[in-house]
Amino acid sequence: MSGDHDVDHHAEAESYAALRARALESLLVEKGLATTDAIDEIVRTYEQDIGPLNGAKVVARAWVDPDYKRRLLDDGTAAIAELGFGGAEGAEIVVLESTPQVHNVVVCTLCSCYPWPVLGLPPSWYKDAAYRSRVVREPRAVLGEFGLTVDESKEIRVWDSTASLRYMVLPERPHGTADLPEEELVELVTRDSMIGVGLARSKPGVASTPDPKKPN
Amino acid sequence: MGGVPGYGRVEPELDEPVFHSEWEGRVFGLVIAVKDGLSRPRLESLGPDEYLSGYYERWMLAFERGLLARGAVSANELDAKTEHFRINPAARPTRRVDPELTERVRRDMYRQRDIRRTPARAPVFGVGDRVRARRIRHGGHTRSPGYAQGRRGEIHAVYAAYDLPDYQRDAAAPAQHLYSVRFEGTELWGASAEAGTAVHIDLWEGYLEPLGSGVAEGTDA
Repeated sequence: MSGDHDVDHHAEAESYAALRARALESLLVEKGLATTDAIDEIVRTYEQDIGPLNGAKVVARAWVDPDYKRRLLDDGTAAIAELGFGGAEGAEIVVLESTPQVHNVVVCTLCSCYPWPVLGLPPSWYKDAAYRSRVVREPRAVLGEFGLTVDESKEIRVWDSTASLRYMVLPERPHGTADLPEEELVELVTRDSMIGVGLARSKPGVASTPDPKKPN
Repeated sequence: MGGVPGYGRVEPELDEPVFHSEWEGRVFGLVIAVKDGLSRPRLESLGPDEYLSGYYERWMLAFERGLLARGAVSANELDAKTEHFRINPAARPTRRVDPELTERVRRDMYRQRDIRRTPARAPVFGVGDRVRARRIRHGGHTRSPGYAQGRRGEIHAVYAAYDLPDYQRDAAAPAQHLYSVRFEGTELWGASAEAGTAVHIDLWEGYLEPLGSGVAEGTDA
């Protein structure tokens, strides 16, 4: 993918960034505007505690509990808070139900708005120009690059989260999972399925998106 | 950048870490920890080359400019400190801990935000109404994406009222209702649109005008 030149260039740029970040942290700590352990805690929280497992629990609950699902689609923020999730970048979370008729997929074409409390921080591709510029224009082609072919008869609805709300997809529950308990269903819910660039797994450990060469 | 041509394939990274380098996490932590750390207009005021550099590079640059603008740090001391770390690769940032503050920061990450505002008036549009996204000409920050401006859509949902982030002559501009507006792929992209696709965009009331008003290009939002 990248030639040696790109790698060198990247390493060089990153080392400047690393030095600059160190300088900023040091100065702000010296001036009493930041503290070391608070930064440690923020990094730890988003690396370990606030991530897509939260959203997976929300989805699994909605799959097994029709009343919860109703509350979730009616007021996502409140229903998500029932499971203990909420906070920064999650003041207003709207949950979009994907169905046999409609496949939902989320983007932020203006920046990279993302529902942190349920999905954590966004992956690089979500923040990159390729996804942001193209998914509104050719969603079928872009989903194909994730290995997801959506049947022509199914509408694709792209949600551009340009404003105050954050969107999360409630993916379809895979066939053949009627007997699985909620804890095992959680393992089927991938981050990508909650952005809408993938589907939930049909079995634990199975790839989240089907082989692009085979029909869904 | 919605609809802007010229970008290649999406390249998902397998098992991507939350932060690719330690410094990314430190910058993220600083921005979250330092109040008023980053504002979207400042992020968007970066030049095109700056904007397309890495995500956390952008955060850091915008954060740095904000600190300089409000005099929290000076350019000279920041450059001198950067040079200090370049000459002394083993040196680490000055440490100071405050467990009580950290607990407050931790709680703040989980604090429920209330961003709904009291609107100046009831929503003008209802579900199913046909609207057109106005062309925005004030030249400042706007959250109305360019690819939909001038295009016709339909109100899909009426949301609550929220502060409008556009630069306003009147800083106390009242909050406006927000709508989910549905635009068919063919309306946005013409014949090149993929079949059976639509884009739903969140737009403030001032970004919209009723269709059939006879005004194709309205006043600024």
